[in-house]
Amino acid sequence: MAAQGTGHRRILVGAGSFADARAALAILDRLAGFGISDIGGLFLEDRGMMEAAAPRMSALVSPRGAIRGMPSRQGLRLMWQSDARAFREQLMQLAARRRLRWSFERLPGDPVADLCGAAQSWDWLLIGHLTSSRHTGKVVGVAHEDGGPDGVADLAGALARSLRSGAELIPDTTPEVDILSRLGRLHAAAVVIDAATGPFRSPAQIRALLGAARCPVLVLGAGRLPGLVEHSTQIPNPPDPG
Amino acid sequence: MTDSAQTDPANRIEPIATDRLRQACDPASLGFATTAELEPLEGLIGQDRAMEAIGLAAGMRAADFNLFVQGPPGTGRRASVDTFLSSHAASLPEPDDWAYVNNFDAPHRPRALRLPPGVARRLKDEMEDVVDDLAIDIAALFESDDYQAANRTINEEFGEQQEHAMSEFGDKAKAENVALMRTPMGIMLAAIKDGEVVKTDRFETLPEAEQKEIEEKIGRLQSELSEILRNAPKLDRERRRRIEALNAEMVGEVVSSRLREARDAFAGLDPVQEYLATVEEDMTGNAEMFLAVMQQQQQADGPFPESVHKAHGNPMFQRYMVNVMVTRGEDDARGAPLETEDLPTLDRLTGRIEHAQQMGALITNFMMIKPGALHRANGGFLVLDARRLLSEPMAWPALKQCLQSESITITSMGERLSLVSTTSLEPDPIPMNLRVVLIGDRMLYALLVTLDPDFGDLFKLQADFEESIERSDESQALFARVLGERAKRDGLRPVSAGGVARLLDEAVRLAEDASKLSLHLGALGDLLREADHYAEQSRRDTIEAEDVERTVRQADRRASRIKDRMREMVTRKTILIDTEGAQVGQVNGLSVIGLGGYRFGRPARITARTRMGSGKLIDIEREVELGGPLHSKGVLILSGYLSSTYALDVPFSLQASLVFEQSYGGVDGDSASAAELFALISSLSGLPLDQGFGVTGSVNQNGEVQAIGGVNEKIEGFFETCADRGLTGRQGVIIPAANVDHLMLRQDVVDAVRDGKFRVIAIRSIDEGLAVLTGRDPGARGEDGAYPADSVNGLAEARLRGFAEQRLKFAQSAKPAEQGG
Repeated sequence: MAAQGTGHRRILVGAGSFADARAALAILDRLAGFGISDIGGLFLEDRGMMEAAAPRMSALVSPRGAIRGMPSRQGLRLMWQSDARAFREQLMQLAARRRLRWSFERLPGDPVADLCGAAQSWDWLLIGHLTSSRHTGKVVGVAHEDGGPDGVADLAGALARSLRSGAELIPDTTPEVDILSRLGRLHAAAVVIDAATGPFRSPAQIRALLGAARCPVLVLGAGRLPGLVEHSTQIPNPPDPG
Repeated sequence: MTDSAQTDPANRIEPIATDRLRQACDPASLGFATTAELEPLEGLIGQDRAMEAIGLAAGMRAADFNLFVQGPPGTGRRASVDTFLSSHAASLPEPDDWAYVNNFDAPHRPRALRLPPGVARRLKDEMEDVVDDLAIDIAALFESDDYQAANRTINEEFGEQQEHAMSEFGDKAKAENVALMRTPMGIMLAAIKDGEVVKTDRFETLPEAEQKEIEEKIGRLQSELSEILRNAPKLDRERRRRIEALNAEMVGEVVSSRLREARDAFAGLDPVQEYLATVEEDMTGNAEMFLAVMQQQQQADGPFPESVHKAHGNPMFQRYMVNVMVTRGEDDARGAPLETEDLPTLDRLTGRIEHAQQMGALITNFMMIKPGALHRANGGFLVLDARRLLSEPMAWPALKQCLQSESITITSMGERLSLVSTTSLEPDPIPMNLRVVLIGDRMLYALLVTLDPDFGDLFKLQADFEESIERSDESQALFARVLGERAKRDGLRPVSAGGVARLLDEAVRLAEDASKLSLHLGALGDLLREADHYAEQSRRDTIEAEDVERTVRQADRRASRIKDRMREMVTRKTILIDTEGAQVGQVNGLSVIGLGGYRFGRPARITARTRMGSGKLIDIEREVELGGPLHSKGVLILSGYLSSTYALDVPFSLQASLVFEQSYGGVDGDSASAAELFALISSLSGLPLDQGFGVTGSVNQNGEVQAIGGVNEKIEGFFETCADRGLTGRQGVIIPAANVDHLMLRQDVVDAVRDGKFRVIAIRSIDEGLAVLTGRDPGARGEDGAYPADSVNGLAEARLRGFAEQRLKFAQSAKPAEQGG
């Protein structure tokens, strides 16, 4: 499944900010050789954030630790707009460089749940998340203990080599809480899971995984994720296998 | 008129004897048949003084005993300097090598390395090998499992520290019902109640205490998160330092191992050891560079094996290369260098710093420093042409600066003039120990001594090449050996005794003195080569006198187009010259025209007109600015002579004008002043001057006739004019007696004199000349203080006295009119 240069694999990259998207695109660039033919970008604006953003009941800390005042709704909109534009631009450049078909959409929604829903028509889902350090961490795969048919182990290994980093496999038989605990203490460049066969299948589980790993998460078998939203007409349908 | 005045006083002054007109060398006196019999004489003759100075300059080790070789071209200055210095240089020790290397602390100030002879090239090769080897070794190190493992361990250790903090914070936030939400601006902390993020409208409905609790909680967690995130860069810096330490440790081992070999190869050479220590430090600190370059190269080269990679060619590794400025190769001559620079520009002299264009900017580095002649000659001798050096912008000041500081500093023209502002270097000055030899003419030497106060301090020695030597049997014999050696060296035929004698005659003529031989061996060498050509045409085995004679004739013919046209104009009376009869106030002056190395004489009519005036002598040439200062001086001397010789008791009441008729170019020199004075006295006395004579000579205020230059050409020029008109036997040339020793006339002139068709008369005073030209006694003051009335001087004085009296009458007649008016 992780063999390079074969097939017409379609991958959806989703993020709620450009910082998260950029981390995902860096991984996507490394994945481009793995039979990817189409890439899609989905920028999700978590509008619930607007309701929670008030001085006394919430606070904002920048990625470098600066304490910031809560942005106004208008300010938040402008930032989403700017981040979405930057996300689209980089996706387009990557597609041009790698000669891939591309599409992009900006929607309101939850960056994990709605993304999982939108990913049903795609082979893989790459969820963006800014890493906490500039240096490259490990690529972690949650895979069958014996290697299994999901290809997670192979892909994690290949991705690690591409990143000149190490790979670590966590058996999918490990209790979920232990996986999350391990991931929480690990500096990872990306986490690779298989939604079809692995323990992380629901958006809530993936949200927890993302929260623990704090790095891009590549979900194989994205079509098996439970759908919450219909895909847009702007996101092309999967190619006809025939 | 007295009896003595009626005799022919000109006949009392004898023409110069034929044997003094051309003191030719007798081939029989030379004592050999051809120069093949002579022992070759290498080097120069008659230049002992100059050669001693060159020897002193070569031997002295003091820095400021540089040498200026002065003398005219063609005297063998350059060749003798080269010959002497090259043999002397061979006996001196070889100078050290010099190289520039990178200054890792201050790259704009490259370091100069002084190395024993031949070591610079070895060091350069060694450093190239070091880089090539390390590019492979270090790349392999970075790829090695042990390095990767160590690197990964450090990364994981620090990565996990940060992740651990974030994880704990996440757990804590969760425990306190605070959600971490990602926004484009960062992480938002929001309160959770009943499993949902508390929205604004709900928050307002909460009890005040709960609101405060949330507020406090959010504020506290915000500070904690801020602290954790702020700590991340600090951890990252620490991680980098650990990685760098790891690299330094592991790369240091590889670098040290390789450089140890290099150190062993240059054991005992402290500058190299110090340099290699700085290289090791820099290589260890920039180890990633090797990895990056090797990766680039592998991508670029594809399947080529590592062994063929020459990493030292990569621009990134130039920092470790060695720029050899001066070194001695196996094939180079032993001893100290003897360098000449035929184009001594600033750059070629002191070296230059080249620049390369990169992205629109000019960049440079220590490898772009190029050596100059001073670098190459360091430790030996540098020979330069003074005129070329001085004509190159900034070259002379730069050379002086280097000599004064005893070091070679490279400063570009742009920097010196502050014209350009671009990245440049300040390389270490290289200590300089060399002897500069400037070759130039005497005028340059005089100008430098006069105008440049530094010159005397820096060039304490002068080698003054003689232009001629005394003519004697001994010097003629030496000259013959020099000519024989030159013929042999140039692959020419031997020269017969007759040929040598004829060449010696030319040497005398070149010297413009019958008692001297010219040392312009270059000109004689040219004659010799051309004569050899004619000897070959005539199928002779030796160069004979007729070959030399033909060469002289042909050289004259090639150059004489203008002279011939002028002769033609005289013959056709386009230019008016009388060679017969007598005229009042008119005389044939003689001038010399020089074109390059060719000179010829020609007559010029000089006329004088006189009338009553206020003592003003008008030099028409000067009035129209055709006369040079020396000519003007000569004319003013005439005024002094006239006013102090005639009518001393009355005011000098003459107005006279003098002109070179049909002269449209400049006139300079005072060699026509005697002729001008004859014309003036003739005009005053009313006595005609014999037009069969040409006159040359300068005169002083006492009426003594003084020597002039170009006497042979002047005589020959007037002779040709007369010959074109037909020689009468009454024609001739009046020359200063002081010039008799300079005569070396053409044989045809001598023959004409011998046959009584032409005369050359030497005079010592104006009176002698007046006697010859007027045919009348010039007259001397008697006891009564007066000149004989019908003598030349008596008539001239009477005329001047008449002018004075006339002027007095005029003044007296004018006075009543003024009073009346």
